[in-house]
Amino acid sequence: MSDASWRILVALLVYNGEEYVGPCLSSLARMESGPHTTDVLVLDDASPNPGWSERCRDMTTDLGFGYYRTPRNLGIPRNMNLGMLRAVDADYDAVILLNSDTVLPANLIPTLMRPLLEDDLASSSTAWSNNASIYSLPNDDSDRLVDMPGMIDWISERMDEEFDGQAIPVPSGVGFCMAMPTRVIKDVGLMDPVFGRGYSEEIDWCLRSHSMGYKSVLAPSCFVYHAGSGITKAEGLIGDGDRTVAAHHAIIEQRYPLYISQLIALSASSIVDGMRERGLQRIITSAARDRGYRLETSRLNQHAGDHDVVRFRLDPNGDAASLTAVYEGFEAEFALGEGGALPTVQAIVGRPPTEIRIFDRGAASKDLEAEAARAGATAILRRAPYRERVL
Amino acid sequence: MQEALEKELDRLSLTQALVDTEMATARVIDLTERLVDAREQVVNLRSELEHLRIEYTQYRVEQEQMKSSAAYRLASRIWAVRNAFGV
Repeated sequence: MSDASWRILVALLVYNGEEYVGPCLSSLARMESGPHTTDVLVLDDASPNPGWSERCRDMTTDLGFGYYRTPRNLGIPRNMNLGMLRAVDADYDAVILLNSDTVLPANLIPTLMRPLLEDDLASSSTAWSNNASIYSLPNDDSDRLVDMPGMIDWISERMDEEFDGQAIPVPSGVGFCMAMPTRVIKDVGLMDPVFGRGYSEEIDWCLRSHSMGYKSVLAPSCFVYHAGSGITKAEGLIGDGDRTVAAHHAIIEQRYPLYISQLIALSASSIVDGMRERGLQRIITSAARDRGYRLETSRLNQHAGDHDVVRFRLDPNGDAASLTAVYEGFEAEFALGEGGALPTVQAIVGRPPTEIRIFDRGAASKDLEAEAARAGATAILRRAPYRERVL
Repeated sequence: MQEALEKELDRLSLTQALVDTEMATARVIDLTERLVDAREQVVNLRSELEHLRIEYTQYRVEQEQMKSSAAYRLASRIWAVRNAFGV
């Protein structure tokens, strides 16, 4: 691992979105830069909401960050360009372009920078997220995550343990949180203003860099929360009936005819699916090890508000060959071993369940009861008095 | 410090805006030229299409005239008889 120390500029792009900016700025304030030094610059693209720019400036300067409001609205690509230009002009080593509907983990800087430090040909490094195109760890309850910065830190630490700084070459980076070395920006240039108010500009930039011999990488060791299209939709930048997305896709297709087939090839391969499975399983097993877990037989994936409990669910009839595990909106599948559900989860987690719940009767439920009775360590706490599923 | 930052970003923003304007102007000129070329091509193709339509109509009329002649009907019958006898 490289022990170089970089000067990094985080350029946070703001356009209204008051409800998102607070949590994002708080997470920036908690960030640990490791051997690097980091400055934050908030680029307010002439937000039109009355009074918001003043409040944004106060919040930003109170945290010791730089703030700049453009005299006129530039649109996302040209606002990104301002951040990139500032990074080049002020001799930073890298810039991180950041959407304001994100919450960052404390380990963002070392994990996102590592692929760029280790490979001179990496033009961009994109974070893993709950919402980043095909590079996502899906979460069913992502609105909860925005208020849980500690959980974002914890997930990102687990991802770093699992992937240990791996860098996966991808067809393009994703602009919600993308790091780029300034020496590459000097070579490749800026975002193309033809993308107007924004969408696909970062794809164009990445593909332009690829045509010059660089590559874009995904940094799965870094997990960033991303609300996703929240501000662009809320502010009417992209909406139903709008032709922006189609028009920008058309430009990309015209300029880079191989891009779509590269995306399809990546999706069809097991690379991203495999990483997603590893990531999700890591979250579940680590949480189960740290906090205990529940084993239940149920036909329904019910959780009665207990999102923070790790639950391994077994089909009561034993029809499924896997266990489904859930925790804080993340879901992972684990193959069911021949010895039964209880030995399987104990082998996965390394400890017995703290609780067993049987909601529905069936062959597998009966086996589980017998296994639990033999093990004797875990009490069966509840049994539903009637069928859980109506029909 | 904040003032110095704003001044610096104003300068960068203005310089880049001028570059963007120059680029946008060049692109407008290029697109206009290509639009004019494409428009000319459309006009030429439309004119060619009209000529071909007229020619096609003339051939259709000639064909109908031939089909309605006694000689054509006689030849058709002879052809049918030949086919029936396998000649």
